[in-house]
Parts: sequence; structure tokens; C-alpha cells
Amino acid sequence: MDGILNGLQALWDWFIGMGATLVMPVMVLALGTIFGVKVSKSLASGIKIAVGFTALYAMQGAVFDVLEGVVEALQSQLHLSLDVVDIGWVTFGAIGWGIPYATLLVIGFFLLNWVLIRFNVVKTLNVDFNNYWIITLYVFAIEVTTGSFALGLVAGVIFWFSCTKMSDWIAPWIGPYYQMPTSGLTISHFYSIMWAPLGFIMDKIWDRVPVINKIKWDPNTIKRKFGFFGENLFVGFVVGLLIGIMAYVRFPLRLEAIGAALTLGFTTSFFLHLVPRAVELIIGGLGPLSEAIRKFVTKKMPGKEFYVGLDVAVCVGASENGAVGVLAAPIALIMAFILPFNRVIPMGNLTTFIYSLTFLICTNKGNIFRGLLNGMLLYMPLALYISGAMAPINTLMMEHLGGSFPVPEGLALVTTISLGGVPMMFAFMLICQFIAGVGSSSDLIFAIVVLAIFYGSWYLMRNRSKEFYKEIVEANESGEREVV
Amino acid sequence: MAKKKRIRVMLACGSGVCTSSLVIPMVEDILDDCGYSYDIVKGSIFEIKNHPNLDLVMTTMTNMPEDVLELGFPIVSYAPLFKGDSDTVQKNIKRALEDGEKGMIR
Repeated sequence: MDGILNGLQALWDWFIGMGATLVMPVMVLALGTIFGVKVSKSLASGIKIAVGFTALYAMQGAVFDVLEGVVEALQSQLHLSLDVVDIGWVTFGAIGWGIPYATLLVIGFFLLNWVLIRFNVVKTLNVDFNNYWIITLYVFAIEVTTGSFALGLVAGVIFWFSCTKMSDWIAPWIGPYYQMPTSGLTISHFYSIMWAPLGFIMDKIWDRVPVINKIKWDPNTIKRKFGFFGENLFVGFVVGLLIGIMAYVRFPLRLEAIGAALTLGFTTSFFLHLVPRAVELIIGGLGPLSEAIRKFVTKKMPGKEFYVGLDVAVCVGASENGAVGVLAAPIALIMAFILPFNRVIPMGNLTTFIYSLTFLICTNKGNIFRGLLNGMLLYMPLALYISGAMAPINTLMMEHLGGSFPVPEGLALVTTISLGGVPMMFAFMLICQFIAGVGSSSDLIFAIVVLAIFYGSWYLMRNRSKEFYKEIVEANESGEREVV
Repeated sequence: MAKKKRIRVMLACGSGVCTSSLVIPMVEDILDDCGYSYDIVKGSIFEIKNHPNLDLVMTTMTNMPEDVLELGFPIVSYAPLFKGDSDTVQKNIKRALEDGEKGMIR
């Protein structure tokens, strides 16, 4: 008997020890079978996921080695406070899915969502499966810092519920604004919609500021060719090379130094360009399961009217988003160097401002100038500081993941600006840490201020959504708003 | 159903990672229903220009930047699929591939 138990224990330890490479495929296979996905399809999904994680680990290991050297050189040579590199949301998305209970947690959210729609508590079904990673990651961050999964879960549910209510709230105008193909769609992408209330407030403020209230940039005058700032390959190379030059190249010029800077450029470019290929295998492997669950949930609610919540990518084709996305990237890079106490070198997220700033632009009636100002004054500083503060916790999480997960040496090395793009969730994490007795009271005050600002502005703007809908309809009818 | 020409379809979302990966099984079902044989390529909207011979672009987006529209491909949004509304998407695909409409098909 003892032998069997020991054997089972050894099997279990081995299974968990393999990390996401094995745990997630098995989860997808088991849950897929429960929700009626064909076993052959689930098996194919599982292999895709395992291959995706294997590829991700290999790339991550390679890039960590190079980044460790450069961060050290930056500090010892230039005495910059910059010691954390933003390696982009894609890698962290995969880490979020790599947490052992991630798949289970997300399905739990789906079922909760379904129950809340049935009882008319919320009106949006969030089918944006992939973006749940930000919640699973923060739940895990709370778990590893406080030792309590329950605290993480409570914080995750509160944040999820707030965002889902926000999806309901923006639903009346978001469809007509972006001319969505069918009615009943809304956006439920956590880290962009949570900025909508503040965006509305800023719009009201800018209306009253002389000079600024007259500025209106035409998206057509700003070259909307995405070219450079759309493609990770080039952004990664140029930004990597620039950072490499700062870290290594001194006078008199040494060839090895130039070589080291070029190598950094190529390595960051390879990482940012190829990581999405690995992660799309992981997300693609989730496709059949997510579709089965969506069908299961909708089938259980015949005739029930509800909104379907989608990814913010639905919106980014609009010309004002493209213009702001292009202009925000160099601004963020400059800000990173001049913001006092900032630790983060923006890199992987430079191509993603087009998404994260969406609700700071459309709430300002698509005014590019205001969108950029909002991004510079609100999003960028908060996102940089918070993602910097997350860096040591990121290392801690990677250590806890087990398996062949590469962990940076030293205390902190990598983050993603997207983690800083959800100040509400970060504030919940600080509160959980305080409750668990590992947080400081100054952090608690910061958290309360952040939550007061976000929930307060939402309360103040609670009627703005309907008003905004009327304005859009009137503008569309009178032909004032150019339809893209 | 008569055998149709093999078509090249590009699925494009913002990053080429998330929505376009999730939607593949649904798009395959629709194309199978319509009786097409097809190859699917994936990528971000910025990469559409790197694929010169596409028959159809399918995307999350409801609008497209002008430089993408200038490429002249027929573009169909797959967002309604997430609502379970495959009829709209199927109709739009037919307009693109059989009636030869170009640009954003609504």
C-alpha cells in the first residue's frame, strides 16, 4: 500500500514538476472532454500548447542571459535607475496561462459570468478568453506574496466583476462609435476599458482649458503608415541597439563594444518577433476549448439577450487609434528616461499603445491630441511605476512556476507595461498584502487613492455613457463625424 | 458542391496572437460549410502587406487603417462569430469571393 502511495506521490511530483508544458495540455484535454471537444482535437491542442511553452522557455532563457549583462552595464556605467526591461505582454500572457490552475480558474469565471447573466446582475458575456491572463497572473502574484490563494481569488473576482460592469456601461455607445458589424457586441478587455471613466473626466477637463480645447489634430495629417512602430522586428532591433550603445559603447570606440550593442539589437528583435509565434500556439491550442465553453454557456440561455464582450483589437483599425499608437511609442521611451525613480526600459510593449490607450482616445471623441496627453499624464507614468514595482514579484512567480521555466538571476529583471496598465488590480494586490501583514501602510494609502480615483471617476461619469451615445448618433446623422 | 479554387485566407488581429488564434476553428467550420478548400495564414494587421496574393482577409477589427484598405483585398470581420452569428460572416465571405467585392465588407 505504501509503495503505491509513494508511487502516486512520485508521479504527482513529477507531473507538477514538469510545469505548464505538461500541466496545461492535460487540463485542456480533461476540460475539453467534459465540455464535449473531440479527444483528437484536444490532443492536437495539447501538443500545440506543449510545443508553444517549450519554444517560449528556450527563447526566454536566451534573452535573459543577454539582458542581465546589459542592465548591469547600464547601472555601473551610467548610474541609471533603469534596471528592469519590459519584454512585452505576450511572454507574460503565456506565464499567466502557465500557472497550474489558470485554465480551471478561467472556466470558473465563465461559469460565474453565465450565472450572473442569468440572474440579471451583469449583461456582458466576456468571451475574450486569452486576456484572462492578467487576472490569473495577479491572482498568482497575490498568492506568492501573501501565501493565500483565497485572497487572490477574492481580489480577482472583484476586479473581474468591476470590469464586466464597465463593459455593460460602455456597451450603448461602443458599437455605434466603432461601427461594429452586428449589434450586441461590447469590449471586455480588462486593461483598456478600465481607463474609460478617467478618459471621460479628462475630456471634460480639456474642454475647459484654454488653448487645449481648440486643438484638434487631423489623423489624416499624421502619416498613418504603421510601418516601423507596428513591427516588433524593427522596434526590437532599434531600441535594443540604442540601449546597447548606451550600455557598452564608450570613447575610444572598441569593436567588441559595437558588436555587443548589435548583438543586443538582434537578440531583442528575435525575441519580440518570435515569441508571438510560440504564444500563438498556446492560445491557438485553447481555441476549441474556448469555443466549446462559449457554445455551452450560450446554449443554456436560449432567448436571453446579452452583450458579447470582445478583445479591444476590434477597435484599433480606427485612424485615430493608429495615429496615437505611432506617436505614443517614442514618447514612452523618452518618458522612461526622464521620469524620476522609473526602473523600466520600455521595449516589448512599445507596439501596443494602440490597444492600451484606446479608451483614453475614444472617450475624447477620437481627439488625437487629447488622447496623447491622457496617455502621457495618466497611463504612462502609472504603468511604468507599477510595472517596475511588479518586477521582483515577477521573478518570484517564475521561481514558483517550476518546470523548466527560466528564472532571471538577481532580484528583478523583467516586466511588462501591461501589468502596470491595470492600476485597480495592482491596488487590490497591495490591499491583500496589507491584510496578510506583508504590506506597508504607505502602499495601502496608495492603493486606496488609486481605487478612489478609478471608482470615483466612474461614479461621476455614470450618466456620460448614454449622453455620449446620443452625441455619436447625432454626429453620425448630421455627417459631422467622418466615417472611417 | 462543385469543387472551388483553393483560396488563401489571412486571419489578422492586432498582434496576430490572440483573437486570430482563438477564432481558427470557427473560421474553418464556415469555410468547410461553404465548400472551399483553403490555406490559412495568420498575422497582425501590420503584416497583411507582406502577403501579396491573398483571396480574403478576415479580421477582428470593424475598421481598417487606410494603408491596409489600399492593398485592395476583400476584408470581412469575424467579430460576429463570437456572438454565434455565422450567417452574417458567411454572407460576407460569399460577397467577397463570389461577387468580387473589395475593401471592408459590411
